[in-house]
Amino acid sequence: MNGHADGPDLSAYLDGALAPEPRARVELHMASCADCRAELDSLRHLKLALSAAPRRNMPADLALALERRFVTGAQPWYAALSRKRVWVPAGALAVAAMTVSLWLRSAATIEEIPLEPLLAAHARYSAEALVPEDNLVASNYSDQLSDLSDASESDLQ
Amino acid sequence: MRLSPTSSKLAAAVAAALLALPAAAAPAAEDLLQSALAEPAIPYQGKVMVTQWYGKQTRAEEMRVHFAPPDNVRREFLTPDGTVARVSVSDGENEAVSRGGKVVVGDAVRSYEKVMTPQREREVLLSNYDLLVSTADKVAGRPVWLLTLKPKIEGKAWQSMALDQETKVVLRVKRYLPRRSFASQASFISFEPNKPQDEGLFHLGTATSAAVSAPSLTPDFMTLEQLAKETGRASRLPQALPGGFVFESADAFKAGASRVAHARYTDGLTVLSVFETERPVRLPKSGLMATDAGFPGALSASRAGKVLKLKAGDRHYTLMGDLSRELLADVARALK
Repeated sequence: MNGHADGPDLSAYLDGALAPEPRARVELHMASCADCRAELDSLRHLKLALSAAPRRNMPADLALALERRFVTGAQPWYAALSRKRVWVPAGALAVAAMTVSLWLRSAATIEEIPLEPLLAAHARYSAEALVPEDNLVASNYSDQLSDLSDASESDLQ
Repeated sequence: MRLSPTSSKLAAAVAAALLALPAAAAPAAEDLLQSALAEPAIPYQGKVMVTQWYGKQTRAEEMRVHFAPPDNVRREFLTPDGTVARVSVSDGENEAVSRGGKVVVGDAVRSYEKVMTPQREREVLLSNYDLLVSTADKVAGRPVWLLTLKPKIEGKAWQSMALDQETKVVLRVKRYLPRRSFASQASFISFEPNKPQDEGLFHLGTATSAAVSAPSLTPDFMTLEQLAKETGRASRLPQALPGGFVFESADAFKAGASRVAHARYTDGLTVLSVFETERPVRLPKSGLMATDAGFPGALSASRAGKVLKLKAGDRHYTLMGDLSRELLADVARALK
């Protein structure tokens, strides 16, 4: 694989939708490409955010109009507009843009927890283990604690 | 009478063998383990080098160590030019870490009563690991016994401990995953046993306005029921996990604005942390590891071993420990 993995390939890879051969190619490439691994992680975050995004019911008047259009065959006055084929892709594009915008906004509002306090808690507890490796744990823990106190005292409270 | 050159060599070898002290018999593995678990009975000082390999990253640090029984310890962490970067001091009841004028204080290691008794933890250890004793090269110029803890199943770290033959102080600890790039080692590069230590070494100025307390320095040791009461949420955490891990204790603390439940599992040697949160944890991009499509979460390398985060229902889990990715994935699937 030259350059980086394609976005659609990464997305399909994340969904488990790639055939074995392209999947192996993507995995081989990612094993040596930090950028693509980071991109995959971003996509994974986005997918998580999207799955957590609120779902809304369709407005009743829109549902009624769609029902008239596709079930009863009755057409309102603005149905004439739909004959202009140009509106179909334009409308789809607008809906897609709005959806992506909402998704991105939703993803941005999910505040992630920093890993450092968890690493410090794990290191501190490791010191309580039955079989000691005190010097190693002390090195890690005191370093992580120093990083925390440098970053923000509120993390320590 | 003159001896032939061959006879001279033979005579010299026999004389050397007769003069040599008889080699000490190797102690029993369980006795060595007992010595490794006990606090040393003698004062000592020395220099220790800590090295860690995790994924494609490596970390090394040198420290000066002073120890006085029963459990006073001072560690001075050094920069490459030998100046002190930070200091950690414990008198067995309190522990303080100082760096750049800031002091963080808390309760000392092993000043708590854990949920699991030492006897039970030892049983868990012996059910999960085989003990092997052998001799090894000298460590810090001193003869040692090598005690190796070999896991009974694949995917867990091995640990070897080199104990000073004379004092039984652990001079080197090495933990490694066979054929993987995850390992850590803490080894004395100089060791002076029976060196009296000044009492003043074990006091760090904690009564200053700069002193703050850290929740991780004062951890709780709760049962799962107590954790549920503390967090106000029914716990979905199990009593046992794949790989021989059993629940030991739990803690709850805040990271920024988020509440974190921390369940600790042990197989007697390796500690596996399971963090439960309502929000996802941010993994550093530098440590991210490639995984198969069916892998149950995002995987990252860290000094604590591997970190795996996943979502199950409305909760986020972050796993940490010195395990193979395959075993960590099994644990993750058990939480889903």
